[in-house]
Amino acid sequence: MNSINLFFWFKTAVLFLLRSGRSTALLFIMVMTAVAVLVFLSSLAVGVNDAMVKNSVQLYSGHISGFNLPDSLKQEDLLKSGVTGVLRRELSAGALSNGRRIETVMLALIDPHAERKYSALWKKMISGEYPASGERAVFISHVVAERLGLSVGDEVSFISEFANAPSRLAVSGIFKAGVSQFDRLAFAPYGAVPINPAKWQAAVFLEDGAEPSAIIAVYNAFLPGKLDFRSWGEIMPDLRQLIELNYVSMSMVIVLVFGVVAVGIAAAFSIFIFKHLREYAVMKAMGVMPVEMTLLIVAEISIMSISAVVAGAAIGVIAVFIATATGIDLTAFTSHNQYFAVSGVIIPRLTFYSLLAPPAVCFIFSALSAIWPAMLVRRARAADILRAV
Amino acid sequence: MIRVESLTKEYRSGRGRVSALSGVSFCVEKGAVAVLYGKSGSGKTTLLYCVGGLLRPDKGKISVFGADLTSLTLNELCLFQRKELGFVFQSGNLLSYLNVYDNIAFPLIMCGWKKVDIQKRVQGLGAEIGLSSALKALPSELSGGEAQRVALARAMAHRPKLILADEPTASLDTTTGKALVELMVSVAKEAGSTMIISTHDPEIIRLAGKGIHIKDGQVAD
Repeated sequence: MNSINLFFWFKTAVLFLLRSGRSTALLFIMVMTAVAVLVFLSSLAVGVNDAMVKNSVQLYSGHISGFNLPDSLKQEDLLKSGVTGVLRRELSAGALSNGRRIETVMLALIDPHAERKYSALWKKMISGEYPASGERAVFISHVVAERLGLSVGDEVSFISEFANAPSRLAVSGIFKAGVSQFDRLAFAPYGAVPINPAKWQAAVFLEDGAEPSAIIAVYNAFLPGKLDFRSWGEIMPDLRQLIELNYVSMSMVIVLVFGVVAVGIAAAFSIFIFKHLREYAVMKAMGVMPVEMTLLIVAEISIMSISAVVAGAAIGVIAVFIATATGIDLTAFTSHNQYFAVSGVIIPRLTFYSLLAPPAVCFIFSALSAIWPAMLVRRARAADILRAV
Repeated sequence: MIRVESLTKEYRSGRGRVSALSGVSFCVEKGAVAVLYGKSGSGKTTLLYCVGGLLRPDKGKISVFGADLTSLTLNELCLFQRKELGFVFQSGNLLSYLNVYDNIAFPLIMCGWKKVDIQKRVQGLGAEIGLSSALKALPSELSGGEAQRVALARAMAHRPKLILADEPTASLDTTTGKALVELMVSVAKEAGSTMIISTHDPEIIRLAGKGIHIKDGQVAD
């Protein structure tokens, strides 16, 4: 008779919630809505981070950049599991000149077909065409074009350390990346100008979810010598910090929202308890022990919270799947942002964080919110309540 | 036997210390029905709550069937209340979210009865109080008299040695109140339970075997 009948108290808690009807429903809706909204917002935050990374790496660098790679290393050598594509770029520092005007640039010799397949800088073209393989053509930024007074179809000379005489190239197209670091970059197909073939740079593109550091570890294990591979996080520390900041601010929002929700739950249950105070006193008079009374209150709040959390998470997941199908186009708010240079479409994504953080925080706060009502009931003396109520 | 010796209880309020009981002593034999009667504010309810362990007296001793209530720990007192005591209050006795069946079954589950025995006992009591057809009804669907009969059934369900009733007819009309008291007395006598009722209803005083007149916190005679 001393042991606590958990099933009985669980059943009593369920009956209390079911028969408290509208009050339970309102509280349930409050918690469920908060969880659903925060699961969606967290997934949206993950989607925003994904979009920033995708936009940034897709534009030029890839998820991993390889520097000063030897000619003996082939593109195919870098095609490991989790890698979708590798771009080979042969770089030459030099100058473009048009008459008396001269501008320093970094000319990248590229495979135009592969560049169009994996990178996205060509999408930022504002006039002309992307150069085709074998053409003696150059693709330049609008800044260089303006300074040299060039337009599509004009001829320009490229002078580099690798050639005695300047190479003549036709301007095939002009791009405007919106990111200043690309303003001094120019592109031409392989063979358009003489270049030192001993070294090349790689832009490695990965599958969604593949971890750059893991791929770099694979490269370092497989490839001979010490090669210089860097992840996008190392190349763009500002972006990495921005993403971390995004997670921190989202976590703070989750904690703050559920802090408020927890106060709401505690207040609502305290009102429930005041409403049923006489009944708790009658239970005490029947020999219900303080620990059983606490168990009842905690069970009531936990059952309500868990069911609302599950329902809220399910609604949040459904909302994420619906939004994933079409994406959320925020181009109007991102068009001048360098991290959304290619596309402003956000695709929310469920992750361990976005799916579990809101329910977990909600459950913890709900459990904490049970303390106050439970203490109210534990401390109340049956005789005082029966006299007063 | 229930033995109350030199019981004293004071309340602290805005008016300072108020003496509710002052040196109350009496005995009630096992199986007897005793009535505490007196005017409103005389100390009947305080005395009843002390005997039921809901209030700790400041001084004095309460022995219920050999157990000294004043020396029990909180958990021992809870176990004593759930096994040996049944309470019927003036009103608002029932747990509003449990139906009649579950209300009557409540003390039986707490006492660890088996499901089959609980079913048999609740149905039997339902028939005894004339509410067999209302076992699935919620308290809000019952009249005042029906609710008090259910409260009586719940107080009796686990066959306690002592039943305490605090003004059980106060919220009922005369006819319903009289019927309830007759039912209470007959059910208690049948079960061999001792019953103490606090009231100022002369009808109940007439039905009881023993009357204890409480006046200004003391036994008057």
